Amino acid sequence: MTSRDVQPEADDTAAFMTLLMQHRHRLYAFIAKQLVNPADVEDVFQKTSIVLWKKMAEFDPSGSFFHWACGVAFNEVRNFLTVQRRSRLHFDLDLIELLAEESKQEDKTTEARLTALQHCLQQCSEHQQAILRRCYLGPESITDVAAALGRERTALYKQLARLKEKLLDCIRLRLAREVVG
Amino acid sequence: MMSGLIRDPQFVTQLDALINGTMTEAEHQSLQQRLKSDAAARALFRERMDLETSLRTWATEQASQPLVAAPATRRQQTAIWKYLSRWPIGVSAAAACLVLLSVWWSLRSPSPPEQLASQPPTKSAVELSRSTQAVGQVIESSDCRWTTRPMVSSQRFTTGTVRLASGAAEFRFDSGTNVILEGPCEMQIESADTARLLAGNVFVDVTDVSNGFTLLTPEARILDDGTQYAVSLDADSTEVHVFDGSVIWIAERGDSEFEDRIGSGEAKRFTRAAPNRPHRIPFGQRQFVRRIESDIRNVAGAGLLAYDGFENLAGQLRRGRSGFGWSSGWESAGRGRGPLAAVIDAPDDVVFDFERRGRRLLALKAGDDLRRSLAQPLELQSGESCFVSVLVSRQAAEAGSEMSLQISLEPEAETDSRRVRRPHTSSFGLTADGFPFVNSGDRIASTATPIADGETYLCVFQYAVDDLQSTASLRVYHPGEVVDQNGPTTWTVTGSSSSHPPRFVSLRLATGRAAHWHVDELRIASSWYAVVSNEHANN
Repeated sequence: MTSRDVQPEADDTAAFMTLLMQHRHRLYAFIAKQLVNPADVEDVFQKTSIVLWKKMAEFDPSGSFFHWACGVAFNEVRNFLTVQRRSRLHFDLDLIELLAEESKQEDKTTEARLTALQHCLQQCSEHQQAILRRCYLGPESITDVAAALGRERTALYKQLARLKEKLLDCIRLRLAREVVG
Repeated sequence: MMSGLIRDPQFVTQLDALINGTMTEAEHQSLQQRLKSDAAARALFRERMDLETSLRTWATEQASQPLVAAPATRRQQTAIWKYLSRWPIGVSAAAACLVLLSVWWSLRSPSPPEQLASQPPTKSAVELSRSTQAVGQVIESSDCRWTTRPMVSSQRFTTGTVRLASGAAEFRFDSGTNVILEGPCEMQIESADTARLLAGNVFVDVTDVSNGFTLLTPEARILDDGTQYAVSLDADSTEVHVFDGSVIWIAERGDSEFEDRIGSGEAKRFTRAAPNRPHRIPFGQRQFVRRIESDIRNVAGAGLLAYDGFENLAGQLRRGRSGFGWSSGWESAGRGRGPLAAVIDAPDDVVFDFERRGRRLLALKAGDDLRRSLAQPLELQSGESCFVSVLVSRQAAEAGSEMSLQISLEPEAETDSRRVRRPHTSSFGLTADGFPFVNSGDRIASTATPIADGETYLCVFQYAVDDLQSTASLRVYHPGEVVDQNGPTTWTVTGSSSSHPPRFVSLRLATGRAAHWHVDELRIASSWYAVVSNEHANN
């Protein structure tokens, strides 16, 4: 343990956990834009959370928690790629740096898209929502979900693609209206 | 520039392949080069990744939906717990986070989340993690509606209270006991070998490898002795039906402890006021039905959306008592209130590998016209199909009389009148002369080979939607014919319509005014397999 890796006081801990949960989605998205694969993203997100907690004494409360967390997350992405590079197709470091820099600037957009999505999902039927939940909740692959639903994998892929296209259109429309409004 | 890309199907396909993990190394390299050189492509990629992560966040929040109504801090606490609880306890940093979580809860929460209600926030992180450890795997049917979902991570459930509004869910406890909940039902999972039934019906299967299971009710403990049994709890009493082995009922109210052993083939009712006075009741009935239905559900898989084997008590069809995947019971579609059709004993026969000894079927006659609403509307997108299968048998007909049978998938009604037939209904059945027909969007097609009276036929109806049209097809299997397991090579009759595919909300059974039909094993599914699968045939 370094001198910086001190156990935080209880009040600091509570504040830190609140911050982490407030920024959870945008931090997760920041990592996803570099690694894409959900299992990799989850792995790095967990490691990032631990490092953030251990280094919380370094965080300047007058600054942006998200930008500070992005710096830590980016290092964790690089560490991950050093170890895992050969296990799956990943972007090279040049592109990851570019994507990280751009992603860091759009945390509010990421949050706005999440809010818009929650509205747009109300336009989907219960059945469609159930399929999306099934595909996005657990670690199951689309192949596993298709088998469980008694569906052809390609048919499920196509249905998901159509649903996501519809949702993206809806999100764009909502965000455009908000800008105009 | 980005708007042009949005409609670039090649780029969208590349992103799909990247996200689905189906890209080759060369394709990945090509996409990477494009992203490096094209800012608009990167913007579209980031937008797409925001959608992917937002769907994941939404799905996770939905999974803990019962807590959504709680204050935001509670939801956040639950999310933290769900997230942290995925970490192996042995990892020191994660263990430290559990301590941190415990401290944080004790600071933030005067009352912890509902699922953790039994744990005061002052308990140690170790105790906390033990109290909420995964104790089994949950398998839920596609029509499950939860009021309070189980705490689940990777399909593993933890201790806590679950409330199932409708559908059925099987909790496979790590102790080797499987408990099937039939909605509406409320149960508190206490450990890997103990649960408390708070309301509704459960079927308990204590398997050979189990060391035992304790089911608690408001007035008693039920201990198994290597058994399959069902328990039904209502406001005033508890019924116990034992299918195999025996159970010991230990009443916990009153001054003295009362024990009663209930053996295989027995059923007893205990009132809440006097749990030490057993009342013998007819064995089986409703709970036995649920075992049949759970077997069918297990074999057919999640593709089976709705089912009714008409396994009621013999007599008049009772509203809402049989099947699953429906929002309510059968109701009259044409003649107002009054008795619905009759449920009678099925013959002791085997049809299409389906053993019917001791089972029931639905007897329709004289213009019977019934409707039942689906729990989840069926909304088909291009490229999708739904299926309906049913066993039908026409009883002796008089020449020229109105002996038809029509089975319809109905969209929502445009008027309140129950008599008005709904437009865009898709149906199939047999004409007065016994010729199979399909009706797709008011276009009727029939075939020239009639069925024979007194024989049982398996009818499988498919409604398929593509970009241009919807197609209704019917395959009628004659007695002795082998049922295709992967879809038929030819259909008995097919009809198409260019009308827009509707959203089906109910199924209707209607007969001619002089008709006598037997109907059995009604299924609605999203796959061929789910409508024709049969435990015996598959074996």
